[in-house]
Amino acid sequence: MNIDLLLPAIFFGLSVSGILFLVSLGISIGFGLMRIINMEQMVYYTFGAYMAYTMVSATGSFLLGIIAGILVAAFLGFLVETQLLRRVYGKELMFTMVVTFSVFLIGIGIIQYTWGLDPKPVSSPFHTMIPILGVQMPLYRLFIIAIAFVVYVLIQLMLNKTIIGKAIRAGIENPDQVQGLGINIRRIFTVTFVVASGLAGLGGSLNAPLTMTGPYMGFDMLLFAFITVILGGLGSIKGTLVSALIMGQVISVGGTIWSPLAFVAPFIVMFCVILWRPTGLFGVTGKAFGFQE
Amino acid sequence: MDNSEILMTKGVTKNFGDFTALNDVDFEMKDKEAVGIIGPNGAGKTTFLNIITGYYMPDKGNVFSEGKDITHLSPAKRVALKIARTFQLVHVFDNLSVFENVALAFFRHKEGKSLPLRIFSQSLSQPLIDEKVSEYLQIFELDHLIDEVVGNLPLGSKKRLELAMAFAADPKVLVLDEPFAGLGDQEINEIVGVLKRYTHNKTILIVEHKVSKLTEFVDRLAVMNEGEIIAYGGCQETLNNPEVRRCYWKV
Amino acid sequence: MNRILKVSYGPALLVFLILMARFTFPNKMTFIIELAIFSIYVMGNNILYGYLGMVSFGQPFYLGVGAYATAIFLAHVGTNPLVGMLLSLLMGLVVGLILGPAFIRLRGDYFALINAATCAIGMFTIEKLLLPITRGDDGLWYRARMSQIPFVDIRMPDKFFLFALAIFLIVLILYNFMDKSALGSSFRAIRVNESKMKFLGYDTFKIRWIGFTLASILSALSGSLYAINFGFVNPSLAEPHRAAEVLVATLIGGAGTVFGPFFGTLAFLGIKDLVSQYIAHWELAVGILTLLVLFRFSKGIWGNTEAIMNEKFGKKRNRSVKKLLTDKAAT
Repeated sequence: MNIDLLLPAIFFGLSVSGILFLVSLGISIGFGLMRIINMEQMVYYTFGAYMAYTMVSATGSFLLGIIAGILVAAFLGFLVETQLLRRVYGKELMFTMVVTFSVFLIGIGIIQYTWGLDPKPVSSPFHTMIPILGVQMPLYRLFIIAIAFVVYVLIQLMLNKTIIGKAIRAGIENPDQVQGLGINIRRIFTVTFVVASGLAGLGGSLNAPLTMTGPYMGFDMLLFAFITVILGGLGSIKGTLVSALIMGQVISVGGTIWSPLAFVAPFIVMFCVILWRPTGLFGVTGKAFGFQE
Repeated sequence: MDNSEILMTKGVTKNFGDFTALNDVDFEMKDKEAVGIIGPNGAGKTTFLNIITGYYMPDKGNVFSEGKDITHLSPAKRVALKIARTFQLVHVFDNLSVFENVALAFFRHKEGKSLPLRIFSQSLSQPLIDEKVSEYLQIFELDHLIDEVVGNLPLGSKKRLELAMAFAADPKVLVLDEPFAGLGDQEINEIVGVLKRYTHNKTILIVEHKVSKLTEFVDRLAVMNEGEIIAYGGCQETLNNPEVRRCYWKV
Repeated sequence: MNRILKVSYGPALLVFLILMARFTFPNKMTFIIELAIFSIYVMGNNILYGYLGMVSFGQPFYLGVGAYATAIFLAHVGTNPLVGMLLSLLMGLVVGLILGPAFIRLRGDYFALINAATCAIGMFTIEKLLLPITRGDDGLWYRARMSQIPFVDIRMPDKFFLFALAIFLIVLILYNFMDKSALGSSFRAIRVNESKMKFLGYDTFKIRWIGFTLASILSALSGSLYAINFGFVNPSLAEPHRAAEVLVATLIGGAGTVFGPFFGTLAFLGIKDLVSQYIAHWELAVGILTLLVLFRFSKGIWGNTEAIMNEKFGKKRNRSVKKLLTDKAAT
């Protein structure tokens, strides 16, 4: 393969990683902290994208689109968590999966109802190209990489420096004990969930100019997000970051080599990971992740 | 001593991380013998049963049955060698009827394979199974509950049901993990009554806290402490052992 | 023989009712044909979800395998639809036997996702990589190539109706037979306590493998019937996001019951029919319905009906054992 194509592919891959990281975090934490498989995360992602579309076409401001995307997604996350997910905590994993999948379907239905079936284009806020290492990179992609990086740093700070962050970490390590520490676990769950869905919304609004915004955009992303989470190990934030970085490159570099690989390569990676190393790269514990006892 | 005892372990060791649950345990049982194992919580009794029945593999050492090394056999293969067990936390099929629970156990015994071919063609409701299952249900006084869904039954009935399932497999060696836990005196006495009837018919290995009930029917008693068997012999002799008095009774 | 008769009453009655419905509402024939075909698909998923407690988000793949096996045969190789159907059954068997051991040892959520991934890759392969054979999005057309088979000319919709119904009846009888056999009990037992099944001495891995393969075969059969019915297939039949349909139908009907899949399909297709008259897509209705079933109506239509019937008429099972017991008590 031509080296001239490799460098841009790697940069493109990084921006894909940024989106993947933002949208996968909710699934990873949802499993690590609440022991649920929340498939409805992609509703927030899709809503984020549609808010970007709506705000850009109404006001022309992409920044407003991002803010609206985050806020609407966070609000939806709040609604779903407090009204529905509270009833499924502690239930069988399969049950949570089917419940959140139904929420996902409802979300798609609402989107179809509100915005129709046709894909909506969102134009990129900046069209500037910036030369890096002799390669012309769209500024917008760099912008995504920067935001994802800032989000990662902020999350690490929150987890390590704030009380609620420490409680979340303790909760991921041992969900049963947090209750005993006299911490209101319900509030922690809600806060975590709202933050995670806000980030999924952010991911959606950021991704809107790069892809077609349509009702089913969440489906493809759902699979990619799950692959990312499984590769990184369910419940691990660092693992999610590392695997998002890997998956971005797999998609981007793979697609440069042979275009169908952009779609198929992630699944091949997923197959290998699930079948040969079901704990993922940074699974919470070694035992029973992926395999039945 | 040769290896042909019905059940024997040699140097069995099991660690969980830093914690040594079993340390170099040698143990042997004769055919048709009833042996009780007692010991404080965390002494390794349940771990020992789990290793004998194949729930865990030991880190070191071997398990033999009638001279055959069964250390690495799966639980299903051990059942084929006629070793059956019950669990401390009752393990039954909550969504099936009492009849089906026992019938599944008996069907496996009747067909003699871990995946009976006739699993496709045979119903669990057929004359031979009906007769045997009703026999076991009567022994454990469950006959009036035959069609009940197990999930709705009280703990005592579930415990008796699990025993009935173990008996329905017609095992040579019966491994029971705290069959009396959580039961009232009346229920315990009923079960003791049944076990007494079978003590000279089957090999029974039983872990239990209620020593007074155990001594009513076991031939020998083993005492475990901190992953080791500290005494093993006739009931009175074991209970009078000075080390047992010190460790177990704290005197 | 007696047992075959015993498990045939219910299915025969149901098929009789369907026949009645067909003549009462002649313009609903297309709907009833789809009902019979989709029910078989749901029965397959019901083995996984209802009996064994495994959720798969990739069932459309197995449907697609069956549909494309028949379609490719009819479009490129032969003309006899029955041979195409046999080929589909064989493909379903092979796919189930090969993928089974790799998939069923996974924990539930991974099982669901790896099926979704399989579906995505499989459909991508059919759509893009096998483009010369499958003609991708345009679909394969072979209606004109199908030849007549003995007795019924299944190229005619009203004849195909009878054919599909006959297959449905056979499948339902076998399904009922499975439910009442030791295998059905083993499935249900594994669902709640697999480790106890192991300690009763059963090879639970193989039993689950059998269930997985049966589900694959039933889905492939259903796909094959779809292919023969439409006279063409395209990838939209087995799109990954249609995985929800079969799950929802299983849930509504009553997971883990013999007749649940039929009633679930009836309700699901009925609702889809109704809803699509008002809004273009049905995701919203299906999502809400599923939540309702999950939280308020967890036994589904047939599960609840069965419970009511048991309450009213008493359970009929194990009559022979009860007789044995009373006889013993008398002596």
